[in-house]
Amino acid sequence: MSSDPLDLASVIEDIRRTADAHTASGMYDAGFEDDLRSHFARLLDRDDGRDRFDAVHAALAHFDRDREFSRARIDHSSGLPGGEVMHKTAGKIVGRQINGLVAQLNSFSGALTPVLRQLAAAVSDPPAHVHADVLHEIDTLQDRLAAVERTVARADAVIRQLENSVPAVLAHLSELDGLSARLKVIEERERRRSYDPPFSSVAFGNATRGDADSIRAEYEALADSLVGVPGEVLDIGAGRGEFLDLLATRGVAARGVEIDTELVALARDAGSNVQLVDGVEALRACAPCSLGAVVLLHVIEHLYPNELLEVVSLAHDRLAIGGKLVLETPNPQSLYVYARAFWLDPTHVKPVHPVYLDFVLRAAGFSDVVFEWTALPADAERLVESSDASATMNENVRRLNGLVFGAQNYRIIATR
Amino acid sequence: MHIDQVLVGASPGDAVTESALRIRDALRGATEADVYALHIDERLRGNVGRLDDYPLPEHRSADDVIIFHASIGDARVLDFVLNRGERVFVVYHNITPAPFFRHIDPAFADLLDQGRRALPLLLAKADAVFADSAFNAAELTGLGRHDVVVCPPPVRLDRLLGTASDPDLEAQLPTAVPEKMVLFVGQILPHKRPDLLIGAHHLLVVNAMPLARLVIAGANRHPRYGGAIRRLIDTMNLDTVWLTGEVSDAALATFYRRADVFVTASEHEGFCVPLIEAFHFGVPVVARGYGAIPETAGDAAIVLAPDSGPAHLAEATRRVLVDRDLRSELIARGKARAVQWEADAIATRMLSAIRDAVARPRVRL
Repeated sequence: MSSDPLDLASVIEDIRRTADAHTASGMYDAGFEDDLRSHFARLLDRDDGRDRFDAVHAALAHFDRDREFSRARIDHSSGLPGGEVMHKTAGKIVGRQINGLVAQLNSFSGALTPVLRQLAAAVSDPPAHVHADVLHEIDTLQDRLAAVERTVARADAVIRQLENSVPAVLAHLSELDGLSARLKVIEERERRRSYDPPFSSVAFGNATRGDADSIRAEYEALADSLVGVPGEVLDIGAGRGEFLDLLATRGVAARGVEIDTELVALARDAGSNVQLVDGVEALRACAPCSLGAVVLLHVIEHLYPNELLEVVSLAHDRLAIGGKLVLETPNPQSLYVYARAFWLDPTHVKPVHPVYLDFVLRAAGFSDVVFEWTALPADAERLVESSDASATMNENVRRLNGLVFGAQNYRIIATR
Repeated sequence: MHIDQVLVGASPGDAVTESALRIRDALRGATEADVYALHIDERLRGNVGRLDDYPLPEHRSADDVIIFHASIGDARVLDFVLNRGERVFVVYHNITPAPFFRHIDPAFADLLDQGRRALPLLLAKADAVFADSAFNAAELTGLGRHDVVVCPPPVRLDRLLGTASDPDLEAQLPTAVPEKMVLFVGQILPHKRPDLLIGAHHLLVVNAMPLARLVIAGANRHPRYGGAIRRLIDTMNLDTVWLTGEVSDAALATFYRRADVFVTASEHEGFCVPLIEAFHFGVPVVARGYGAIPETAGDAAIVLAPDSGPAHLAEATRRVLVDRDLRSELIARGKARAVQWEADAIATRMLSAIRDAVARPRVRL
């Protein structure tokens, strides 16, 4: 027993709530009480033959008690003076005959009793009065009918509800029509804005980028720096697999991902392990703290700002302690880059400023962030200082060279 | 001095008869006392006198008393009581409202109406008025009688508690009631609402406790109504309901000892003796708040709102059967409540109330 005194009123209230909830949920049939009432009223209204057997049996018991015939029960009273004596005298005279009659009547009623009993038993035997079973069947049918009527009533209610909600549904449909039309417009705009050139990106790359040897030469040092990283290297945007080659020759375990089908085919033909997978997806698929390095060479300028943040955050999570994130991208601090290189590729989204990138990497948890400035424009392109010119002019030339002809790329190596 | 009691009908087990016999036995030490009735069950012949044999007025004085137990109307008994010269005390056991019977038994409904219509006449004639319950007293107060003394019926529980179980029934119970037993004790009459009990039992076995049995222990006093109840059980395909018919004290005690919960759906009770019996036997009680039930049950039973239907009765029954804390609390409260209705104390109260009334000078003629 609980130590608190039981609050019976709240128990009773709880019982009521529970029963009502069971009724609302359909566990207890909501129409049950009404059905019970009408069904029982029908039963009350209809006389049942079986009830009468009680009366038959009572009458039989009564007959059994009273069936003994006896001379003693013959009335001798009389209103006439001396009549009683006369009756008794007459009785004595016909006594033998009366005794015979009484005996016959007794034997008759004695024989009648079992007949009556058998009759009563036969009549009260169910097979002898099929009508009771028929009534029972009718009852069952009426119950079923009531259940069907209830179902129909419920279906009616549901249909009415549905009818009531039709205008709202129609309104929603017309809203959907509007939305669908707007979606088509947006899709069309999107299609027009998306970049889907009829030529291959490989052909375009061949026409605009440097030769494979010079590219390899550019990244030898970087490949050297990745020897001994604490895990596999993932090269996102691996292109033709040149950087993977450099890593392979150094015995560094590495694989690449690339979203350009043609480039993937080329890389595979050249023997590189490059898969056709989106970089973010590839990172997600890696186990936390499993990678030795994540390399994105000229990739982040193709990303939208949020994509960049996601790549940095995922890379930090998937890199093992001591693992490196390598990012290389055009240097927006050099105006030459805009004139010659950056806008040459229509798939560049926007340049990424090194100060911003430094902030993003540190915010993501990278502690050691090292910058390298690469690919200075050729001397032939830079402004020339001259001994003929004044010192001021030469200083101006140096400043302009710094601003206009700064390094074309910068590279960040961030260590987790 | 004679203090005689008059009833319309006397039958064994009937609360009014039992209470009259007990008062008679208690009175006999000090005065002449008898019980008379118009209709007498054969088993009570010799114990209860025929109203036709009531001593003629010339053999009685104006100081003698007739205690009339009013529970139904009957023109002959009413005429008898209203036309005698002795002092008349009325014990009001309540009269079942006629509408319960109007449809199935108009003649009986008329009788009930007659009884209720005669109440003002009886009250005018009565020197003293007693009522089973505050509920009954309130009805009489509504008729202008403000000196009603509330005296609960002295139920002979000691007799029932001391009765040995019926061995045949006991042997039958493990098969007939394999699991929980829901018990109702009362006559099969419309105001007791056995139809609702059966409906509630249907919900209980279908949704929660398929093995539970409902035992309805009581005489089938009305063949047409009882037949309809039997057919209700048949047509609902409920083979888990047991209509016992009239039962002996031994059988009744056996059922109370075995019962897991006592449930009544009754809509009219002037006192409701079975509640006290259930309390005595340690059976938790579920009822609806009609008539005198709330005051008889007190805080010892689950008394649902009067408008509660089969679903509420089924849920309350289920709760009492499965919630052990609730069960034990109800049983403890029931035992405590039963002590308050201890028959000897109540009979003493009743007797002293009768003696007080006898001692008061006669005020009405």
